Amino acid sequence: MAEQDAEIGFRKDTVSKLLSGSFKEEKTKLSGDAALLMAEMLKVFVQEAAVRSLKQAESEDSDQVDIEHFEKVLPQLKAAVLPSLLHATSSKAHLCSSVEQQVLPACSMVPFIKASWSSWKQLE
Amino acid sequence: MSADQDETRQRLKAAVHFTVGRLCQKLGENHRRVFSRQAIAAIAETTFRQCDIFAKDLEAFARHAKRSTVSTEDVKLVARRSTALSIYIQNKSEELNQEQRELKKKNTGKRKSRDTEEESRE
Repeated sequence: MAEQDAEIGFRKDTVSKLLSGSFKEEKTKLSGDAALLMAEMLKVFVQEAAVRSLKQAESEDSDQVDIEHFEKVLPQLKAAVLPSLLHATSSKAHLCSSVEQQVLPACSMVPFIKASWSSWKQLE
Repeated sequence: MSADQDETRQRLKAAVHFTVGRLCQKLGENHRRVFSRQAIAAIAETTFRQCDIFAKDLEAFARHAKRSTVSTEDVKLVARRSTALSIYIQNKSEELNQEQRELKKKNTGKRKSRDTEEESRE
């Protein structure tokens, strides 16, 4: 598994199964290239969430990135998909309520990658 | 949902959790910080749910184009909202195309050399 050492990411068949499972129509399929591209997309999504949380932890002078750091960056991470995020985290009451109190911008996906690259430079 | 489907979902969730954990660990190392298990679990859960939204969008885009197979064009549409992400995804898509073209070239090249070998033998 040379790929594992080189770069961490989602596996193509995992992404393929993950997405195919959510399609409403049974006949909808996912092309191989699309699966690879989505794997990249999901990796960016996770990195974005992680770096934003890292930054938040750093600003609070915390050595550990905790759930509350992620919780604080969650609204800016994905404003448009918030209804479902709220649902996703409803089991964690404190996470849910703090997100609800935020006033959310209407846009989504915010600067995404841009933020991670610039914020990285700042951190280093 | 049947028990079988449920189990597949759990497995997929575990796979996402695993990858998210490794990505977070690696990023944390670069900044000398550790991610708590709860933080990783929350990011993993969010990613998992996000997949559902992505899938529904992709399917809708493909349908709109009167296709039943989701293509890279649909993925580009999902990424359209952020300019930076959109450019990044487009570049990746081109990279993929390039790789495939090279693979094809290699294969046809091999076939040709084999053909000529056979010819010379004759």
